[in-house]
Amino acid sequence: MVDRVLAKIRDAEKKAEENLAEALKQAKKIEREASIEAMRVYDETYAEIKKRAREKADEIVKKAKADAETEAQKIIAQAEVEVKKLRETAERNIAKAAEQVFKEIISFRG
Amino acid sequence: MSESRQEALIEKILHDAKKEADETIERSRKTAQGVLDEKREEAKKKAEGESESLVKASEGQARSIVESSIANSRIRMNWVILSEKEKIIERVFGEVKKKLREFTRTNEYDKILESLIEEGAVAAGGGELQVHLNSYDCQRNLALDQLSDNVEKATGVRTMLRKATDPANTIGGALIKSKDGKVAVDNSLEAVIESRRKDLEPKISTLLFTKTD
Repeated sequence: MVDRVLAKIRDAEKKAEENLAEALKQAKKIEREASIEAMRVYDETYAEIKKRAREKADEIVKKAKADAETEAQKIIAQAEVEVKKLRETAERNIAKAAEQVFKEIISFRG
Repeated sequence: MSESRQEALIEKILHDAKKEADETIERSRKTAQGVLDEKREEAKKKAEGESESLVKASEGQARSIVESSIANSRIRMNWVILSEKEKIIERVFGEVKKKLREFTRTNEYDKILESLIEEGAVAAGGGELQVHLNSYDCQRNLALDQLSDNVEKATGVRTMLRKATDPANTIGGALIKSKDGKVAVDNSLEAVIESRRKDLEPKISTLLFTKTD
């Protein structure tokens, strides 16, 4: 009778040990998988943030190029206005300037 | 031990084992989650640090793009304006040449032509010299003997000025060459203009581009 009881208890203990062993095995597996998953998460997180930063950087440069073009166009337009003014002012004075230079050359030799 | 106590004991053994097993798994799940969180944070920190540098660098690049574009455009603008001024100044020289050509058809020009010949001959050092004139000026009666005397006095070298047979392709003035061709002085009107160009350009610029109204 006692033997039977002890045998039942030993069986229960064996089963308990097996359960614990299985749990430990599973725990190790979870940690091993987590370690692999952690590398993936690391790479993914790193890549995602860097991707966003590169996009932001590209956007900044793209905007700068557009701004630069706008500024260049403004300066070109300003140059065109200046050239037009120059031509208009010069047109009124060409004959007078030519006459004065002519006189200066002649008087220099006279 | 009664059967019910045995059952209770066995039940407890199994229950405790299950509890411990569950706790072990739960602990490792928490550890796993901790590792994941830690790695995620680590990646985030590293990437954010690098990203900040990347964005800063691109902001610097952006400033440089805009500044260099503005600087280049201003240089181009100044060049366009300068080039336009040069074109207009060149037109004035064209007009001056036209006026000089007309002037060479007047009697007042004789005196100037003689002065150019004399000056050129003195610069050539006197001697036997050929005076190259354009075909129109070749027809003029020039006091070459008197001019030869003047050059002789100025240089101390016996001087003989003669009209060259081949005409010069100029609007006026004279090219003076020694007989052997070794000495040549260009005193054409074009050369006179060119010699005075540097002095004249700023004056012309002021006359042309200063607003009078």
